[in-house]
Amino acid sequence: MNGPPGEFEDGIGASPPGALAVAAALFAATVFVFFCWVFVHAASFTREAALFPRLIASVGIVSAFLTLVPAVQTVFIARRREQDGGRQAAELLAWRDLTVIYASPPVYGVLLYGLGFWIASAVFLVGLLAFLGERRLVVLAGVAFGTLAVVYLVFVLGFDIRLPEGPLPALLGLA
Amino acid sequence: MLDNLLIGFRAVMAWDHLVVMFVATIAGLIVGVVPGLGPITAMSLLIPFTFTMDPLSALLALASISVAANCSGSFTSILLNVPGETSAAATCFDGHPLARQGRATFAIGLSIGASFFAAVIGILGVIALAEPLIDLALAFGPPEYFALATVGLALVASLSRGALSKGLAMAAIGLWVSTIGIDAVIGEARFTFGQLELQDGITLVAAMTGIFAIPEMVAWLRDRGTISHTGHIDGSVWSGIFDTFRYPVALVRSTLVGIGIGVVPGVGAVAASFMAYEIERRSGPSPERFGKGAPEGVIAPEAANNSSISASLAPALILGIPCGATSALLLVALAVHGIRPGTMLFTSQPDLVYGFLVGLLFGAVMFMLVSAFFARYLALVTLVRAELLAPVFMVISIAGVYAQNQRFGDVVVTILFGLLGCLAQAFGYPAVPLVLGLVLGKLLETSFHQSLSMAGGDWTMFFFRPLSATLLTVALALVLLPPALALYKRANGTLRASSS
Repeated sequence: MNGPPGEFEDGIGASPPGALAVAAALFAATVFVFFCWVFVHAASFTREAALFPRLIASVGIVSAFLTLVPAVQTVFIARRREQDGGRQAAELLAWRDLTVIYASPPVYGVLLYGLGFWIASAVFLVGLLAFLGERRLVVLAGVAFGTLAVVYLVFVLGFDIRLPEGPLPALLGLA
Repeated sequence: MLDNLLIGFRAVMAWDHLVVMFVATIAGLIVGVVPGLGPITAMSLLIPFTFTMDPLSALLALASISVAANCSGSFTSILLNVPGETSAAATCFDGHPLARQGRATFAIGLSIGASFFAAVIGILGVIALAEPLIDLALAFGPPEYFALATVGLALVASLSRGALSKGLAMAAIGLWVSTIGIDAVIGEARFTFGQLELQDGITLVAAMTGIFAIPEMVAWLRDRGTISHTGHIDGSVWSGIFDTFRYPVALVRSTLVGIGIGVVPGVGAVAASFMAYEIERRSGPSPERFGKGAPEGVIAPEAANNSSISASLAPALILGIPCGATSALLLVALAVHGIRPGTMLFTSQPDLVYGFLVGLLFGAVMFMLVSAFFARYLALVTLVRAELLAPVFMVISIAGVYAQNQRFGDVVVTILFGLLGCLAQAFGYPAVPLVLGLVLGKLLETSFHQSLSMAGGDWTMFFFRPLSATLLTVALALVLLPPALALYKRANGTLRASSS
């Protein structure tokens, strides 16, 4: 990703699977709509304050449109080449794993908010490792304990930073 | 200059100073490798501890931790493709491919060698050339800042080869994010939606950690395996350090780019590192090597990054104008000890000033030795299974982000940018232009408005000032030349085909 420059080719001719092509077109459309919204919303600012957001939105609208057109074309190309049937079962399984993997950061964020850093991190570390197939208790406990110990030493003891504790300790009367 | 160096050496050569610097170097090394933390956090947290120290020890501690944290920020760029410090983002391009080839220690050696050389030259430059550097800094007014920021953004075109529209869209997103909050010139709240936390804008570290770290960790979880595709680590740190000097042109050129940009307040090491990378990529005989583990791709951004930070000390010490957060914090440390920057400082307290500058040289040497020792152990992370590494790194990154301002909002920003980064990665949108837009957006807008105020609304003033006109021409060339050359080649090829 932060990969080397120049690797990011436009989609025409690449022929990705249909679902991915549709998702790419939706993303391009979202970016386009977003910049249209920025342009319109800037009208609520004073003239001077609105100048730059509108300039940026103009560049964004043009570039997003130039991306949207080939993305939509790619959808039609991909649909023409798409195969169905036996592939779908494998795709569903892959989608399940991918969904969990991509959802893990926001899930961790929600856990952080609700449970505080220490409990949320322990749950996240153990839960994600177990989902990925790690069953050895020694490894699960070691990774969770080791990570939290390092964080405690560096952040709490070293830099005197209080990490969020969440509402749970207060609810349990431990705060 | 030699006399000044001797004054500095005599001031620094005391056991307590050397111990303080050693401890600060170790602390800086640890801080630098944690995404979210960086030299600014380290220096901010260290300042209260320096209250009880003498002024020179305080400055040496801050300088050592700053040098170490700044240099070691590239280690995570190389090992994990996640910049430990914003200015180390460009090191990811060629540093991480080297790690994937099993040459992590070699890449770290290149980074250490380039950082050391550039830090030394930058510091010697400050000692020897303080006055000309100041003249260069003073030649920059708002129109020149605007033009320089435009040059930085024009790099988007170069960094998005084959996907210019996607690169521009991401740069526009980054520029939009920089408008969130209360503008410094206009004083109006924009895109805050009534949220108090958004009035300060989006924290750069939170956004950077999200856009780089989270997609990388998700990719590790998805792809499994280890970072090192070979399953082992080849090469040594010292071979990388010595190999740095096999590329003298890249080393010297990037160091000079860093010095030139470092003395200009507000632009910063991020822009310097990207510009130096792009200059080396375009100047080399085989630009296609870049992005695949070219040593110059590590040397250039690291040299520019470190020399710019060293050079930023000149305006800070002589004029009291901080060129970046690092020099701003050093000025805070000086103020805490009752010391005012200015030309008088060099004559009234030469042991303090030159002791500090020589201390930076010692810090660079110390960092080179310490990091060379630890690098081989750090590089072992490339052999750890990705599914073990990813959750651990996510937890540490989030802790680092929270540590900046101790606001949960920053964690939310990180996760949102992480999702954006994952989508961008999946659909081929480059993340670097977004970072450039975010970093340069405020400078671009502020200098634009200030320039128009200076000229009474006359837009043409940008083209009547020699320096800004030159820089804008460079920016235009960066954007227009590549597609023009491509069109010319295509037309030439068509012509040859039809004539044969």
